[in-house]
Amino acid sequence: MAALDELAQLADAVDVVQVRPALAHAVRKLRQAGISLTDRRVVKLQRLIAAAAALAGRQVATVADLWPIVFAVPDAVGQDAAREALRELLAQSENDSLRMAAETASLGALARAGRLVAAAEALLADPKPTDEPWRLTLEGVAREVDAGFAPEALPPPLADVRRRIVEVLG
Amino acid sequence: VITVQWRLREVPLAGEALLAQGDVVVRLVNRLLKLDDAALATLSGVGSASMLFIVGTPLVWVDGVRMLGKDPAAPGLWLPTMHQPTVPLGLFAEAVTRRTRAPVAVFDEVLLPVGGARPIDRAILRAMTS
Repeated sequence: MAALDELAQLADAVDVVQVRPALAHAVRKLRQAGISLTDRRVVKLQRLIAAAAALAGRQVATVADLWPIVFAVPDAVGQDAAREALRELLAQSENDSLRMAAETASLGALARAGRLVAAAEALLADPKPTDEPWRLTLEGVAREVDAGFAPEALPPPLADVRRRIVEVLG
Repeated sequence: VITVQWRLREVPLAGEALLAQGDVVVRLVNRLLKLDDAALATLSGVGSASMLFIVGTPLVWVDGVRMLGKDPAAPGLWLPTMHQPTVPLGLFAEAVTRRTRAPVAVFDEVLLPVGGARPIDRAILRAMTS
């Protein structure tokens, strides 16, 4: 929960102003495709976009962080239609891995990634590679990363901690 | 003929076993050799110098292992944690276990019977690295 709190705090600090025109464009594209989002959902969506930016290590949300828009559509059929309608816009994402993660996993992946990054950071802050319990604990984090994320879809902060885990464990 | 492909799961399985192939086997064996006898005794394995399946708690980890888990819909199969077959899992399990005795580790296009997993023997591990 601490990691989620941290992610929420980071998301609070993210500036979403610059991405609002792109978001409005995306909402219009969805509307043209027959998919309507309520104002309430669009407001909540901005919070998800902020979380995506925070998870990517950004303080200012960009088009790359628009991917949660797909998950603002309530049902699976609508989400598929939204992906199709927004294909061009989402393809502009500079962060393909995160976009792929978004397209292939549920939003639960966000929370899972945040928790794993926090767990790994806590262990890596005080490395004890010759201490077996410490090593097994860090290996447990690495296993959870590998079990829960396809290599090509690792969110960048998680890819970074995984790389550092490999370095430390040798 | 029904072609089976793999698609990403929305919610991954818990990784409760792991599989090493190729060069990763040596890294995994070296890691296992660093465990003390008590820790090693909690693990079971089956395989060869080219493919090694390990299950138990606590598991170890080295870069390159594949994580496997169990889906309640196919308790006789160890499946990739991130993927599921495009055909109904129950039917898939039935087809697999009709050809190969369960439990079976399934990944890519490989079926690895793992019913023969045994407690890990340090001497065998050493022999695998020599």
